Amino acid sequence: MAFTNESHNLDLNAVTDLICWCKQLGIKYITLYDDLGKLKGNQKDLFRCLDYKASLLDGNNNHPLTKTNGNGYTRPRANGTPSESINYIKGLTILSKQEGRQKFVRDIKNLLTVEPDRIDIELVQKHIGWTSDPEMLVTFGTKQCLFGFPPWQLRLTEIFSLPSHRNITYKTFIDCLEKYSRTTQRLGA
Amino acid sequence: MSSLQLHQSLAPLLYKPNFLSHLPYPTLRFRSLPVASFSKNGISMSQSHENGVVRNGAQEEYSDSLPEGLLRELMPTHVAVIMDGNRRWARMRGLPIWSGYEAGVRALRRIVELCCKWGIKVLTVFAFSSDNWFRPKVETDFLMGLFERGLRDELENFSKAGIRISVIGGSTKFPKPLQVLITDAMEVTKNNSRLHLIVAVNYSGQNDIVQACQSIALKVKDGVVKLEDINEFLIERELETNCTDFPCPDLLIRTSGELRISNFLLWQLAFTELYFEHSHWPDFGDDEFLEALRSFQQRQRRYGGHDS
Repeated sequence: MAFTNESHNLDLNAVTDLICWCKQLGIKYITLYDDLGKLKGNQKDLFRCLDYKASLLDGNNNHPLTKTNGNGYTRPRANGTPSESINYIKGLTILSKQEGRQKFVRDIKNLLTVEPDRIDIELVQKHIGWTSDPEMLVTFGTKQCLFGFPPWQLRLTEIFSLPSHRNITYKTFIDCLEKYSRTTQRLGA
Repeated sequence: MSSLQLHQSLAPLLYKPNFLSHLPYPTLRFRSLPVASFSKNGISMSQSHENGVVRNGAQEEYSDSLPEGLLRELMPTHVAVIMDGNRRWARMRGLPIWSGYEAGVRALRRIVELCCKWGIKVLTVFAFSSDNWFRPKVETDFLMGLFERGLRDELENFSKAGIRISVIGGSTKFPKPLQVLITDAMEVTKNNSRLHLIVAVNYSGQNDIVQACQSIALKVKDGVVKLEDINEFLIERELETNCTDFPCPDLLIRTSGELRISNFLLWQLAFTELYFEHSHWPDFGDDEFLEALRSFQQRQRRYGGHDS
């Protein structure tokens, strides 16, 4: 999921809703991207919010460590790590513009010392370290743009655009997934 | 039907009247510009660098005015197009797929005309992907033939209309006469500056990045480039789009409702506005192009450029 021109206006509540919906629907890997790195900068708050949501979803409102402070956030444990949300952060990656083209360059620098003829797609793929390319990308914001999302991985990714992540409903998200399920990729043939 | 019979039956369809000879060479009126440097054609341009990408601040006026709703200062400099949907267009009409490709060529001609008319400097079109070789041989042979005939027929008109042709993608798989024609076309039109038409044939965005890496690796090996000096701008300069000063499209249009970039200009599209159009490519005409440009300009007005 990419929050394109909404980096200045992120709603962690909505973001954690999206994460929870993805996980509940069995989506294993989720990548969150905002070019300005606000999500990365607010990871602690994000995980706190996720912790709270996870405790609600797991039906654990009376967990001794999930006391809300009136804003819907949990009191963190002493070491600040999320508690109930461990299943929700497994497979979750948070990226910013630093992980776009700049990271690609960092990852392949060592590769550029080998014989040029040896460099091919497979070797580049090995060096950039992504497990798999995203099958679906949802961009939020009225500007339909990738805003520097890692380029190599988007070869065959289906791109859906929604006007905003704020106040997003479950139905809207499901509609996106349904559209994705109806796509046919001919892979050039 | 054998492929030879197929080609013969299509012969009358493949020769079209020249379409650009009526287009006058533009009458250019120049406004004063903040910084002047002169290209070979004597056109003054101001250039600003934005993260290593050269942007053209040229303010040429063209004798053709823009349609209502379009502002000159918000026109994209570089438009890229994934011309998708030719075969589906034909199937929907009960026509053979060759008719779809023919209609697609006509649509491309019109968009080239409009780009010339409206002052777009670079048009990059995705004509044939490296993945398209999986199609039946009779189809790929037809497409290579269509490309060769189109290029041969239009070369003189491109020259007269001031259009520069570049072809990106690996050409070693093409028939030899086509390889020679491509080299000649690029050489003959290299000084033209009204529109730079870049045709991506047998192109793959990932292969483009790989060949850029190979090129840089060779420079590292030869001591021309140091490892610590390698950055994203160096990679950009080694991509096949280095034939233009504006390698990164401002606007990408993909027709036929598909919502992916299909391995096209992967590196270059990082900050490009994406416009996904429902109609199939042969139906993409004046109105559809206008709508795409209006949508682009509207977004620019609301949100401006991006921090790239």
